[in-house]
Amino acid sequence: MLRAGHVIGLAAFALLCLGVVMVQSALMSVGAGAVTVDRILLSKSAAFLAAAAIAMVVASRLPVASILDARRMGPPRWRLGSPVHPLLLLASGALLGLLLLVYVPGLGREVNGSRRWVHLPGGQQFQPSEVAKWGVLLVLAGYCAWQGAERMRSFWRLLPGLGLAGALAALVIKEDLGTGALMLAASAIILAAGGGRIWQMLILAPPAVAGIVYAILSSPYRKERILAFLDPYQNPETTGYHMIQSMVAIAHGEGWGRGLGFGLQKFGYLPEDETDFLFAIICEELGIAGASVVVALYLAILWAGLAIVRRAPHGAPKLLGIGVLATFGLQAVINLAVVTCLAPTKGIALPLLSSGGTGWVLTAASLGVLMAMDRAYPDTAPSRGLAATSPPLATAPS
Amino acid sequence: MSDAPGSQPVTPKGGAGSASRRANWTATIATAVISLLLVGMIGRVAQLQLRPDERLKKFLQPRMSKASEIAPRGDLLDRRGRVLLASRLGERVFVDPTRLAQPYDQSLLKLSRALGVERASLAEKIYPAIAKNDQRAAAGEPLIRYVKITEVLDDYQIEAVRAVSIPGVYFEKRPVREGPGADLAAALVGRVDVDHLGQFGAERKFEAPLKGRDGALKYVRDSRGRPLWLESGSYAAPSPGHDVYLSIDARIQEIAEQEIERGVDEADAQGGRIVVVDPATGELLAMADIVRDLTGKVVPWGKRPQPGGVTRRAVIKPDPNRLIAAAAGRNRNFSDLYEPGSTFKPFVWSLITDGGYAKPDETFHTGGKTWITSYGRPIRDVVPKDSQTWREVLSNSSNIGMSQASERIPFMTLRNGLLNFGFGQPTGLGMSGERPGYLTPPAKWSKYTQTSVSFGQEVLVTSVQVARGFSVFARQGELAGTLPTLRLTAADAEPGRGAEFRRVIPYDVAVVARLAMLKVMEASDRRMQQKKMDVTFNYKLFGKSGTAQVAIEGERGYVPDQYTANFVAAGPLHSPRLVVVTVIDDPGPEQVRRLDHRGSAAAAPVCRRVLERALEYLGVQPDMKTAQELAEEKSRLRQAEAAAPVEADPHSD
Repeated sequence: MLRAGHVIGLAAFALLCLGVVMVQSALMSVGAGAVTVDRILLSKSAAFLAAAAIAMVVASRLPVASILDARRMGPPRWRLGSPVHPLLLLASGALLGLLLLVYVPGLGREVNGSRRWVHLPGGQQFQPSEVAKWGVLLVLAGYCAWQGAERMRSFWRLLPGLGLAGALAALVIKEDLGTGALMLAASAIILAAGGGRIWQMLILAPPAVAGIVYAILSSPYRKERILAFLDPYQNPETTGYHMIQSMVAIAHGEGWGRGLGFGLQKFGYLPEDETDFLFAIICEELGIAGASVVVALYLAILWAGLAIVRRAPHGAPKLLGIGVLATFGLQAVINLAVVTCLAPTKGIALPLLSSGGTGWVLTAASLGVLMAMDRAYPDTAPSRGLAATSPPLATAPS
Repeated sequence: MSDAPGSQPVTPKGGAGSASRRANWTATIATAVISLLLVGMIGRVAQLQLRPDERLKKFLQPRMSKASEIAPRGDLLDRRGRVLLASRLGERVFVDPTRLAQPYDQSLLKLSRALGVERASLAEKIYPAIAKNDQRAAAGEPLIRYVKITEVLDDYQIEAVRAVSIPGVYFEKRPVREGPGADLAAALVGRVDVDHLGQFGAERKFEAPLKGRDGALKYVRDSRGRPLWLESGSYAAPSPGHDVYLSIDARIQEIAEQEIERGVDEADAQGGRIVVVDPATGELLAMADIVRDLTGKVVPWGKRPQPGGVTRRAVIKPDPNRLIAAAAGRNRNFSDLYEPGSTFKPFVWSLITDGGYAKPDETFHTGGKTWITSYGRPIRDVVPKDSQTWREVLSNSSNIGMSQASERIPFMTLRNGLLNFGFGQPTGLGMSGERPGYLTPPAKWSKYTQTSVSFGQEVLVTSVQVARGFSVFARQGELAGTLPTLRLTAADAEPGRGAEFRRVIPYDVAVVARLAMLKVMEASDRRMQQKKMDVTFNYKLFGKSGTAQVAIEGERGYVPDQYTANFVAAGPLHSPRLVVVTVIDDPGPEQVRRLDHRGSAAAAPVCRRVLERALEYLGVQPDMKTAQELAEEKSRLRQAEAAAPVEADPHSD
C-alpha cells in the first residue's frame, strides 16, 4: 500500500527528474549541440539527482525517533529545561561559525556584490546559508522538544530560540535576504508549533522587520529591486529587465506551452534561467499544465508530509518535520512569487528543480527525514483521533 | 499519557496531547496557507499566459529576424550563348575594430601580408575607426563594428587571410558581376551597382528578368541575434534570375571595336561611333563608341580658342562617368546627336521617288557649281555636273539635284516620311539616355528647312536611328522598304517579334535606291584601292557617305574646318545581312587639309572592313567576283600548290 513516505519519495524523485530535464533544456544554446538522452544522463544535473536520491534514501533509513529523543540529549543535569543546553549551544555555535566562513579571506568570495559561497580546496564550493537553513530547523526542533511545550510558553524560554533564529537569519540576510527571511519564517513556525506564543513572537517582530527594512535600505541593489518590483516597466532594459523577461517567458507559454525544448527566453533573454527562474522556462515550454504538475507535486509532498508529522508524537522529530515542510513549502512559494513577479527579485531556488547540487541534496535529505518519520510512526490507528495520541512507539520500552 | 522515545519527556500543563494538537494545528495552518499560495501561483501563470496586460504585450513580439538569400542574377549572353556578364559569389574582408586582436600593428602586418597590400593602407582605414570608438565608448554611443577593408578577393587571397586567422577579421559574401562584357560592348551591356541591381545599359533594361527573386528567411534568434530555428513556412527559396540572350554578337562586337578604334586613330579623330544591325530582324549586333583623350591638343569643351593657342575645338561633350567605368559613360550612339549630311539623302531621295515627284531616270539640270533656289539660297555641289539623272543625283550626292527635287514634295509629306523612317523619335529600345533626335517642328518647317533637310542639314540624328532607317533599303524580299523594330535581345528569344515591320517605301523604290548606292560604294572602294588601303573587297556593298560641319551646343553656326564624317553601308548587295553605320567625330586637321576628312575617306573604310570581316565570320558567300573569276582564282591556287616543293616534316621518321 502506498504510504505517505512513498508519496514524498515519488514526488521528490519526479521533481528531480523534471529538474534535470528542464535544466538541460534551459542550458541549450547556439552551438552547444543537441540535447540527447546520453547527454542528459551524463550531465552534472544527473549526478546531482543521483546524489540527492541517495541522500533521500539514506535519510529515510535513519532512526529519527532515537536520534532525536529529547531524553538522550545529554546527562540528567542538563535535562528538565535548563535554559542553555550545551549540545544545542554547540550546534548553534557551529551554524554561526559556518555562516561566518564567508568572511574568511581565501574561503569566502564576493560574487555579484554578496558573499554567499565558500570555496573549498579542489574547486568545490557550497553555500553555508543552505546548510544553516536546514540546520536551524534541527537546533530549534531540539530546543523546543528539550524545553517542552509548557516551558516554551514562557517568554524567557522562547527568547533563546528566537535569538538563535534571529542571529542566524541576520547573518544570512546580510548576504541573502530571501533565504534569511525564509529561515525566520520557518523558525517562527517551529517555535509556534513547539509551544511558543505567537503574541510573544510578535513583540519581537518590529525589530526583525526593522532589521529587514534596514537591510533593504542599506543596499542599493535591493532598493532597485523593490522599485523594479513596484514598476518593472519604468526601466525595462535595466532594473526591470529581469522581471519583465520572466513574465515574457511565462506569457510565451500561451496556455499549452511552446513545447519541451522550444522555449525562447532561455537563449540569452532570461538570466538565471536554469537556476532561480527555471519555473518561467517550465511555464514557457510546458504551459499551464507543466506549471500545474510542478505545483501538484509540491502539494503532494506538503500534504503527505503533513500527514506524517500529524501522526508523530510531540517531540523533536515532529517539530523538525514541521520545519522541513515549512521551509520546503515557503521556499517554493517565494520562488514562484518572484518568478511570477508577485514579489521582488530574490535569489532563491525552486526546491528540487532549480539547478544546484547542495540545494538538491539537502532538500532531498530533509524530505528523507520525513520518510524516516513515516517509517518510525506508521499509521496504524483506526481513527484520526487516535493516530496522534497513541503511536505504537509510545508504548515501547525506552 | 505515556512517555515514549521522541515524545515530550516532561508532561506539561495540558499534556503531550495538547502540545501535539497545537503542533498539528500550526502545521496544518501553515501547510494550508502555503498550499493556497501555491495554487494561487497557477492562477497567476494562467493570467500571464492567457491574458497578459497591455504593457507586457509590448514585450511579447516574436524573437524573429529576417534574412534574405540572394537570388543568383541571370547571365547576360550574346546571341550565340557566349557569356558577356555572369554573377558569382565572392568574398571580401571586413574588420570589427572592437574585436581586432591586439597589438593592432601586429594584426595589420599579418593582414597586409596575406592580402598583399601596404600596411599603411589598412591602417588608414582601421585606426580612425578605433579612435572614433574610443570617443564613442566615452560618450556611451554604439561602437563601430564594421570597417570594409577590400573589395571581392581572389581565391589565393582568401586562403591566405584564412590561414593567418586574425581575430576581428571576417569575410562576407558579395555577389560579383564579371565577364568579357565588362569591357566588350560595355556601354551597351552596362553594369550593376553595389547592390547588384542593373545600373546602366542592358543590365538596367533587363533588370526584371535578370534579377530573379531573392529568397526570404525568417528565423528565431537568440539574444545575440544568432539563428536558432525556422518556423514553419518562414522560408521562401530564392528564384534565380533568367539568362538574357542579347542581340549582341560578341565576335562582331569585337570586330566593330577593333575597326572603329583603327579608323579613329587613322583619322586622328576625337572619337568614333559604330553600330551594326541585322536588317532582317532589327537586332543590334554590335555597338561601340570610343573617345580619344586629346588633352592639350584641343580647346577644352566650353572654352573658345585663345590667340596663339590651339584652334581645334573639343566636339565631344566631356563624360566624367566614362572615366570611372566604360559602362558608366553615356552611350553616344543613343545620346549624342549629329547632323548626318549626305548620309541623309537616301531617305529624302526615296520619299521623293515614292511620291512620284521624281523618276529615277529623270534628268536634273544641275549645271554649274552653284544653283540658286526659288527663294534665293545658293546651293553648291562638291562635284559639279551639268546634268544628271535622279538616280545619279543620289549616287553623285548632288546637293543641287536634291534641292531641286525637294521643292516638288510637300513639306509635311517629306516630314512625315522621315518620321516613318524613325527620325525625330526614340528607337523604342528603351535605353537610358536615348535622345529622339531632331526634326524641325511642322510650324517652323520652311522652304529653307526643306532644302536643308534634303542634304542632311537642319536635322539631328543618332547613329542608331540611321542604322535602323537604312535597314529599310537592306531588308530582303518583300520586307525591302519596311522599317524593322530594333531589338536588344536575340530574335529567337522572343518568337514573333522579328517579323514586326512598318512599311516606309515600296519594295521597288528600296531596291532602286540600293542600286544607286552601289555606285557610291564602288566610288569609295576605288578611292580605297587607289590609296592602297588595307581593305579587302570580297563583298558587293552599297552605302552612302556624309560629311557635316560641327555645331557646338550653345553656340551659333558651325566650327570652321571641323567635321563629322559618317558612312552607312550594307551588304551583300543582293541579300543584305548587315547594316553598318560609322561616325568619325572630327577627323584631324591634317585629314582636313588632304580632304580625307569626308565620310567617304574617313568612315567608309571602317564600314568596309567591318562588313568584310563580319560577313566572312557569318559564312556569307563572297559576291564581288563572278563565278568565272572565282574558278580562275581557284585554278591558280591549285597550280601554285602543285609547283611548290614539298617540305620534309622534321618530326617524321
